[in-house]
Amino acid sequence: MSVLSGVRPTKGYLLEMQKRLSFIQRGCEFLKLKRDHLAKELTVSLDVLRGRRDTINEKLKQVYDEIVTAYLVLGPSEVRSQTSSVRDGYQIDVLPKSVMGVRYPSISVISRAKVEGRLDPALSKTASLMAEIFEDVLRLAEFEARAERVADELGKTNRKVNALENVVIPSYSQVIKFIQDKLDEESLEELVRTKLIGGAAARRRE
Amino acid sequence: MSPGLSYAVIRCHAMRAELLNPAVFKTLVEAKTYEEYMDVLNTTSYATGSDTRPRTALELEGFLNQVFIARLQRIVSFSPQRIAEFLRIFFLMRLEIQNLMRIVRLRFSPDSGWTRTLALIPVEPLFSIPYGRLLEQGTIEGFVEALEPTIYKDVKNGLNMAKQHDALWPLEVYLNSAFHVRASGVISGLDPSDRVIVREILKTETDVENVLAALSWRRKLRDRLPPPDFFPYAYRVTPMQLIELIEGASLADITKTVNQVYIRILEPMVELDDVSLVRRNLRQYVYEYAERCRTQDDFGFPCIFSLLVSFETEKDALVALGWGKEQRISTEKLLRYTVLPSVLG
Repeated sequence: MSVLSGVRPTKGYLLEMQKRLSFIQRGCEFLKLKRDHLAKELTVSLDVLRGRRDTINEKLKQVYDEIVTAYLVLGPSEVRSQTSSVRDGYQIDVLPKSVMGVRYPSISVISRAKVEGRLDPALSKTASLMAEIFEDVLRLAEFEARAERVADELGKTNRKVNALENVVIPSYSQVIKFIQDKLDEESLEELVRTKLIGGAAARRRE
Repeated sequence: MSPGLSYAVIRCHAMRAELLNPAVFKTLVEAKTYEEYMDVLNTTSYATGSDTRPRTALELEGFLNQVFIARLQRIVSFSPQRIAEFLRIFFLMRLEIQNLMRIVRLRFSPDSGWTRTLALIPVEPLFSIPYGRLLEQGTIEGFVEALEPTIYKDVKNGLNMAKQHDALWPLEVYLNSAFHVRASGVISGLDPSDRVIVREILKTETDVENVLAALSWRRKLRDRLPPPDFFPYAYRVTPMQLIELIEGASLADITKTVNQVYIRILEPMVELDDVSLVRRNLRQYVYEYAERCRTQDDFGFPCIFSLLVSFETEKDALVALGWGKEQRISTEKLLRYTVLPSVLG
């Protein structure tokens, strides 16, 4: 169906359409600003994520190696028994935060696990290494969730901007142009008609 | 040599056939999966019926412990009284202390949300009351009280320290002290040349564990020193040196003053900070030392003692290999951290 179907070529309708177009163009500018900001945010996040992920993967590999060697030397039942003595495990709180209206989970550590004086030296070193990176893993998870949601929002905003720029604004412009052309045509007709009537009246007076 | 000792030595020579040979170990190491590993193990002296076959590495560990304890009890049953008593203390009491620590750990954090199972080593209590009664105690205080009538009565002295430091090591220190006291008693009943062998192993093990404990303390609590009874037994590495180690002295400097054996055992700690490799080196040293003593006197106490050390080392190696196969750990890593007795021998 044509965008022009149902269009009333009146002055009032033209003003209404112009008002709407100006509002949409302002909204589009805002969305473009949001898109640029989100894109910047995402680029920074991805750079940080790439670096952090590699570091954490490296550290996790080291912890895993330590755990494997502890199992090999102490035996599975002893490792299981020793790890059971660790009480007061990590307690975390997850609350929502927002960037440019995009909500993401923010993790805060309430209490940490206490491992000192409970484990064999082989496991104690592993536990210390794990404790060192555990909070980094939480931060990474938070950052990944944030990046994922920012990317999602960026996609949506981009689609909205594209739709406004390529479909909505051109169609409104087309409608406005159509109405303006119609009104111009009508006013020209009106002028010609006035001239003709004016000419006929003058001739009659003569 | 007494007829009793001759008889025990001959029986031990016969029992050596139960040790796995290098070819079997090679096949075990090369097994691709845990099932394949168990299939190979089933063709050895560790064969089990199909319905009792351990399905996991944890079950395998329990089974291998059972086999080791059965062999130990067999040797104890035909050994002369003073050697039998020594073997019971040296091998079984350590297992009992491990069990007691496992019970304590379970009582230490009863409110945690972790699902846990208690895997006790299948050894009958030597000096403590039955484990079932210890498990019935709801608190550590109850546990310590239950040990009051046993040789572990001094554990109560560590209770306040355990509460003060919110840690388990004080209880472990007192349990190990009970072992040292008892072991010293039974070692004095051995012949002087046999005493030297056992004391050498005991001293090396104690010193290495002390060094590891000191380094572990340094890593976490460097700003405060441990209480005076943190190292109740120390031999070649003195308590003073251990304190220096905690205060930041270099391990290389400390071991330099001791002997070549300590340098070799503790080398991974100096270079790689690898506690597990130190433990592996210690195990290898004990095995090699016992074997060396046997080659010098294959018809006396060293023959009995080295056989048990070999059985224990073999058991630990099989547990590690079984777990490694279950978790698909690389062969290279398995071999790095495992002491394969017959292969070394």
